Parts: sequence; structure tokens; C-alpha cells
Amino acid sequence: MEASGNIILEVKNLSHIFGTLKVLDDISFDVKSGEVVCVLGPSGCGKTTLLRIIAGLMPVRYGAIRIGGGTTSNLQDIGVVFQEPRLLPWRTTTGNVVLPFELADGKASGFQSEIAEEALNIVGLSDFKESYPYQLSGGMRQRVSLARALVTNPRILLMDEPLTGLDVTTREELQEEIIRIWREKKMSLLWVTHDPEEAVFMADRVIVLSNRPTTIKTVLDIPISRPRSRVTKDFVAAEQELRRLLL
Amino acid sequence: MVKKAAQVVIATIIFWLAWWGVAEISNSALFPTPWQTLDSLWGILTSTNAWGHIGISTYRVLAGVAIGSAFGAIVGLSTRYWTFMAVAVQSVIYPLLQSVPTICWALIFVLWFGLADITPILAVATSVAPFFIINIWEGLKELDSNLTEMASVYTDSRWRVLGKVIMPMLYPYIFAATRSSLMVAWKVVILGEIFGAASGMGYMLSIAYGSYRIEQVFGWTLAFAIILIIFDYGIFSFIDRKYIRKWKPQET
Repeated sequence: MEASGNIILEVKNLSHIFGTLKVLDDISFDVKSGEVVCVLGPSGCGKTTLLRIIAGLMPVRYGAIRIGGGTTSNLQDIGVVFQEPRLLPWRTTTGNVVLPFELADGKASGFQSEIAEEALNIVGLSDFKESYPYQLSGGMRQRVSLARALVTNPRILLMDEPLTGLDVTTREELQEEIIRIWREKKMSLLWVTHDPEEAVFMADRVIVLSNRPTTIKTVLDIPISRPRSRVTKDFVAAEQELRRLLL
Repeated sequence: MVKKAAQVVIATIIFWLAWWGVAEISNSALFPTPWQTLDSLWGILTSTNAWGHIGISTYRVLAGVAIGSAFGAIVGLSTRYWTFMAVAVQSVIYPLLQSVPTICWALIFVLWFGLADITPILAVATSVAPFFIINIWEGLKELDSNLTEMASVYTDSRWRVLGKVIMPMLYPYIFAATRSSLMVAWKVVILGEIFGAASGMGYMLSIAYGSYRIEQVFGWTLAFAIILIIFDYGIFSFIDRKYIRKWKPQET
């Protein structure tokens, strides 16, 4: 584990209300540099809301969020991968990956285009640079979306069930690749999922959420060394434990 | 592909033969044959001032569409950022533009501006603006909010999101509006020029009409049809294939 101790993301006493419906109730946790933290919860428990608030896509109503030492989400500090790839259908793979630069600066520089190319190499799409999204498979589209999130070199990647729509083989392949990229880039991951197996495979630490109004039920460390195999006794035991906690 | 081309040729031949047949049977000075019409068209195209009139009509069409599209686009886009405009467009602006006949606008503009360029141009602008308003409105309704949300992760600037995400998403709608509005614009310009201008293809048509030169009327009508076909099938189909369909799955 690469955790060096300094805190990248701090969530403090976060609560959220939709109308009269309390969705998040006093959530506090933090993510350290280089750490993979999974947020595991039943569907509809507000875990996506939690991630959207952290990503700055929804306002903080009660409580506080600090990213990289500052209170606002600095664009350079976070990357987001959504459940759907959210690619612009009229742009090629490369065009989609340079989009964050164009949005931030108006235009992508030559150096930034090189960064985009490199990100495409990292996710294994160097042969599909000029393809349009409709020409790619679901797994490949999500790889493009991952490359797009990587180009700004974020300190923390926020993942909102990024592999949910994919078949099992593609999902496991991408889990392994994301771990490889994570080790290379030495960034932190905050990964929202409803799948206990995914949580055990990815996480250093799993935050288990309760049903609405969502509170943190428990936090489980996963002290299994990497690379992880899904069939070891420790792995299966941890998965069983998470399943039990979700009930 | 070859088969389709052959069908186009056959359909064209049938059209010309039918025209010829009807002209021969009626045997009337008021129904020129295709040959008489082509002869008249040739005479028109080789006369010294014909291209000037075609040019001025083209200019009025393009100027009118430019003004109408700019107005329509601004009004259409404003509905996204200003709720008042959404209501105003729905209850006043669009119904007004859509329901008032073009000929009424043309008459009003003649009274206001006389026989000036601005008369047919404004007639075109008022008749094409609704195409842009309604198409952009539809486009904005279909807008994928997932994409704009994704974009907002990387910028706080609404202009950048508009320029990089929203406008490109609307291009197919704007393209469709431009295409149909140019078709309408040509027809409006001819109509407007017949009684609201002292130059242009419509003006020439009205002169031919006024002097009972029916083969001239047919000749100008044919010239007009050819220009429209070149505009739509030539230019727009080309742009459609090259830029709009490129990123969409092919149907076949």
C-alpha cells in the first residue's frame, strides 16, 4: 500500500436533503494519498449523490469537503469517471480525450495533445485514436472516458460505478487495468460500487453505507496484498463479510 | 447505387416526356414545350443582365437567411438561460411568426421600405426565423444533460460548455433548419420581388408575366428550379454526408 499519510480528500459531517427526504446523514471519512477507498452501499442509498457532491456537481448543504488541502474542488485535483462513458459522439477518441484541456483553457496545446496520446496508450487504445464512439465497444468507450479523466493528472479519481454496465469479463479486465494504472500514477481512487467482490478487489478500505437516511455502517480494511486473486480464502472471506454487512 | 442512378435518369426522362406530351396535345401558345422552354432558358442565361438578377436574388436569400437564422438562434438559445424567454417564445414569438402569412409581412415591408433590397430580405428573415427557433428548441429539449454535467467537471465557464458541448450538439438541428429555410427563402424572395423589388428573378418573372411572354415565365421558372436543386442536393447533401453523418452509425 502506497499510502503516505497525507490526506487528499476529507469529508466532514456531510448531510444532504432532497426536499424532505434525508439522503445523507452525517458522513465523515477521508482518503489518503495513494489510497483506494470503495464506497459500498445498496442501490438507492445515496452513494452517487455523495460522489456528485464531492465532484462539485452538487452543492454542499451541510458539512464540509476539502480536496487536496483546499475547500473547493480544484479542476486539477479531481477526475471523474461516470457510470456511462459520456463521450461526445461527434468527436473521435482523441478529440474526446483532449476535451478537458479545451474546456479549461479554450484550446489544447501541442504538449497537451501529447499527454492525451499518452493517456490513450495507457488505456490501450492507441490503435483507435480516430474512431468515433459508435465504432467502439462498451468497454472501449469506458476506457476512453478513463483516459479523459486521467489527462489532467488528478490527485484523486472519483469513480461512480464505472464498470456496472459491462459484462463480467470486460469488468474484471478493466478492474485489473485500473489497478495497474493506479500503481503507475500513484493517485488516489474513490470508487463507488454496489458490488462486494469489486470492492474487495479494488479497495484498501471499504466504507459500507446503510440504507436511507445513509450513514456509515462500518469501515472495513482489506489488508490483502496485491496483485489480488479472487479465489483465495482471505478474498472470499472479505467478500462474505461485506455481503453480510450489506444485508 | 447504379440501380438508383438509373432510376433517377428514368424518372427524369418520364418527366420531360410527360411535359412534352401535354404541351403537344394542348397545342397552345400558353403551354410551351420543353424545347421552347430550354431555348428561352438559354436566351435568359446568355442575356447580359440575367446573371445580375440571379445574383441579386441569391444575395437577398442569403442575407435574409443570415438575419433570420441569427435572430432565431439567439431567441432559441435564450430559452435555455432565461425562463421568461421560454414562456415568451412559446406563447408570443413563435405563434406570431408561424401564423402570420409571409405575404402580409411582405406587404408591410413594402409599405415601410418601398422597393428596396431590405424588403425581400426582411420578408425572408421573418419567414425563416421560426425554423431556427423551433429546431433549436427541439434540440435543447433533446440535450443530453449527462454531457453538460461531465463538461462542468472541467470548467466553470458557461460559454465554454456552450461552445464545446451544447452548440455541437445542436449543429444537426441548425443544419436541418438551414436546409429547409433556404428552400422556403428562395420561394419567398421570388414572391417578394414580384411586387416588392425592381430587380431579381421575381422581378424578371413579373415583367415576363406582364408582357404575356409565357415561354419567358417557363424559362425563369426552370432556372429557379435548377438553382434550388443545386443548392439542396449539391451543397447540402454534400455537407450532410461529409460532416453530419460521419460520426453516426450508417443505416445500411
